[in-house]
Amino acid sequence: MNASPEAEALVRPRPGRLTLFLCCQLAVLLPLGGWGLLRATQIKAQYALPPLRPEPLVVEPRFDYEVVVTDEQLARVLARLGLEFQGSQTRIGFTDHALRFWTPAARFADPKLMSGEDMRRLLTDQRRFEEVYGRDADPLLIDEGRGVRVRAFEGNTSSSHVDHTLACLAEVGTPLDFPIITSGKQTTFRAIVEQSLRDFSLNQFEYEWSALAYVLLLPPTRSWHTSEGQEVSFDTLAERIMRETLPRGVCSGQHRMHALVMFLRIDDQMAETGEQRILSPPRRSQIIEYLQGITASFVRHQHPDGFWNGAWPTAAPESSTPSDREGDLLRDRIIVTGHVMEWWALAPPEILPERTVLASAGQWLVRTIDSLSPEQLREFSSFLSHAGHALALWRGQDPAEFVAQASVASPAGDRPGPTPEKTP
Amino acid sequence: MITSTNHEPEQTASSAPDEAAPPLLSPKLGPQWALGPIHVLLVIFFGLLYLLLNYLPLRGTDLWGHALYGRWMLEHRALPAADPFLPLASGMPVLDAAWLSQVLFALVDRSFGAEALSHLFALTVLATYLVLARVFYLQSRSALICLLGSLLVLSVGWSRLTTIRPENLGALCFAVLLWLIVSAEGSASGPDGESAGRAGPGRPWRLWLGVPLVMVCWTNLHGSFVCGLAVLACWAVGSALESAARTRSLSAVTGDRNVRGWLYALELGVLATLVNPYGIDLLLNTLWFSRNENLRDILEWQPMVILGVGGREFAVSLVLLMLVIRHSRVRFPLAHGLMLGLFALSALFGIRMLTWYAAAFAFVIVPHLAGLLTRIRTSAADPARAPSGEDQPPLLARTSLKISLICVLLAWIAFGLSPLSTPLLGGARRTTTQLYGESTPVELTAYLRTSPPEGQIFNPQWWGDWLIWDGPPGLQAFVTSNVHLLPRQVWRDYMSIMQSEAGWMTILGRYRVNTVILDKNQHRSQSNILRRSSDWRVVYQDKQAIVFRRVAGSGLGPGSDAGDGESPAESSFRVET
Repeated sequence: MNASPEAEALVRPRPGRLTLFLCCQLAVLLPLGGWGLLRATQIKAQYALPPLRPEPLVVEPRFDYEVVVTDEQLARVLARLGLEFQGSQTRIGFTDHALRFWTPAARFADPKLMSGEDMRRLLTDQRRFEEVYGRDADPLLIDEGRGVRVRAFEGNTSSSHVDHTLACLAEVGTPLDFPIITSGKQTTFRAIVEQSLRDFSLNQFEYEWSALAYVLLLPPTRSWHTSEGQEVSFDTLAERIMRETLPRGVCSGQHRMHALVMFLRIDDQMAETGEQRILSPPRRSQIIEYLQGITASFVRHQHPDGFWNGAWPTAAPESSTPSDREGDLLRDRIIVTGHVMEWWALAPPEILPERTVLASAGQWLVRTIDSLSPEQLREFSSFLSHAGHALALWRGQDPAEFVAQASVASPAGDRPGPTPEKTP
Repeated sequence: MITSTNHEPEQTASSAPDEAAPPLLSPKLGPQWALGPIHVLLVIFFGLLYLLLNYLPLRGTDLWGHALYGRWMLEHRALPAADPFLPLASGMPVLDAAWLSQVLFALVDRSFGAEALSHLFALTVLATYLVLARVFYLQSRSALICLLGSLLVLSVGWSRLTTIRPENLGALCFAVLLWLIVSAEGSASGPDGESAGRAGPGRPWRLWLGVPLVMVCWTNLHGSFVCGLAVLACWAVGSALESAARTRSLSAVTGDRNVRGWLYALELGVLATLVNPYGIDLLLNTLWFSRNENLRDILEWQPMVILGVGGREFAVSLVLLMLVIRHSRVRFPLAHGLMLGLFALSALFGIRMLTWYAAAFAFVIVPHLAGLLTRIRTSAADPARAPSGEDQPPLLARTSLKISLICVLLAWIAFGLSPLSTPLLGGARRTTTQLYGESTPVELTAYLRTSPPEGQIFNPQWWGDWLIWDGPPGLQAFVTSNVHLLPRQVWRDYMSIMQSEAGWMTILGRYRVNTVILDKNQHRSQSNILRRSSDWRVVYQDKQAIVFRRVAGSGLGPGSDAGDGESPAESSFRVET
């Protein structure tokens, strides 16, 4: 290409000067670009997902109080609480509840009842999901490319709450490499956990199960960044959990107490194993104080029969007989009493009420479950799973194992009991 | 100093009969101090502009948020790592691009009171316009065009001018940068603008010293410093492309002193932006800033609408530019085109960018206006056309020291009438309403100081900064002007409440909001619903605001927030199904 006459007029750089110019440019631009790139990478890395434990932590029950429920009562109650498989009418919300209650180890002789593995397979394998609900049903597991989201709030074939299925799977010890099969691919449980972390926002309207899943899977990590760029920690999660007015929230706010108790227990575990605690000392003290206040409120407002209803922070139920008022229905009483007994069973001793309070509540649950009709057992399946779990925990028992041990003596109930087999 | 090239000695204008008598007063100043009628117009323009700016009320805008940050920094002698005033933004990282402006605001407020913030604003904007006027003068050598250019900036960018914020200081830096560029071009363009933008840095050392200084200040004053880098990049790229088009030789382009000069200026500018407390993070953060999704709901970050804020002015400016360029014989440098295109596009995508577009637009059009004016004058002076006997200079071109005195008098009058003169000349200070404007909820904050809310409050975003500034200590505002610092979910929830979406009252419960502050003119629907609810009671109201407090013990019963179209998924008493 010939240069124009105008170009000739320009002061042409000597080759040495041109090289010097280019070298100077490189000397400025390379470090600058390199620094920018490095910082951009570092900033991005700050917002990367936190490391996860290969297997969720396990929180063991601490007590064995026969005054709450006797062996015979427990066997009788548990025998009534197996989850019947109802074909396409089987609810995902019931299934994940039953899974966390019975664990994947549960196996029953009665073919109508779902085994623990059946339950987990329905929740984690799209092929099984399609067998049960048909190919036209919207899948439970949605492939999001980088992760898998669990569909929620869309009826029987979806999870009943944000991250509920995730938390249930974590509570029963599902490892991160557990296979997950969506309609498009096979992946692992990690994909569900990571998608939850990407979707999580501190102020989302349901956070109880996210908090529960994270406390089982993240420690010793104490803090991480959400996709919104917000740094959250178990301290901030705890603060968020305690922020909302009670009894707002699912099951009269009881899941929040459960999450807080799990925080305390995992914090203890971390200290015991020499790992980094997940809570700061002031926040830990605040949680304990908060839960003690909650316990005091429960003690104040316990009905003489041993139960509570939806107004537990402010008043005791007026009558032994359930009313038709929202919050005081039988199911509300089961919900509140079952849930509080469940998280108390896992709580540190300084949070617990007098043993008489526990005994009274436990006995009310036993009497109530005994009295329920088969229809009510089916209808209240998810709430009853908490109650049954609570009773088993108060005896320091794994429900599936306990029923297996007691199987010879106690097949009873209004419908064919689980008639469990010994788990392997 | 703007001077006229058509200066005539004073005697020219004086009357003939007194020729023999010695003048009573003989001027000590040289003829270069003599001003003409056009300068009177300029002084009137700037005087009125200054008065207008100084009388603008401070209003309840983000000014108070910035002053709060400045106060916090002075108290803590540190930069905030998270928003110190917004509990819901805890954990969100803060890179405070306006820290220096904020400290300046806080210092001014601490030393001289809030009224001085108004003076600072007026003086900053006036300085910006004066610098721009100087730029236009250097481009055109015409005081008339200088006035016209200033009027164009004002009319196109007026919608962005009324808010007192660090952006004003950024705009001043922008004007200074344009001044440096025009100066560096060596005013080679002249009235015909023939070589405007093509000439390289005629005085490169001035540019190479000036650019880093301006960019260092700008980087620490306001995040708009990237606009300065964009301008320098336009000149570097524009000169390189023009050189390439002229020479068709890559080696000639790299050897072109003009190209190198602008390239060095750009590089020095970029390096200067690293001189800040955050290093390169500030530049990265500023480049990413507009990606923040929350900003899309804020008017000034929204795309321009022709009939919306600034839209008409923008459209008219483009039409005017096309008309002028159509008739202009002045060369249109590529750098000008790149700059104009860049800022026009950015203004289209975000109203906020109108500030920079207005200055860039005037900068680009001024040489062409000057060219047209010269042609018109030449045509008018054509002896074939001009009526006989008209050899006097045009009225606007006559100069006199008397006119200079009039200009000084007018400037003094403007100063004397402004609130800035009150400490010197006496007079009544502005009332609270005059100082803060009617839209600032002064009475509301007075009430809140006497009855401080406990815990989280809900408030309109546009009042947030003021509530914290003037309200009781420790007020937990829901949202302030720092919208970009809020997690997306919080902002979505805020918008749901603002738009009275289904379940909005439940959201209040989720955040444990115990006090709701509403703008009576904007939130009638929410206000009516809360009035009807037994869970809330009105504790205060004036002509602007209404305050609701949650009734003690409310929200504890099932369905207590019924009536807000609550979604089933978020009822106050939910059960598992």
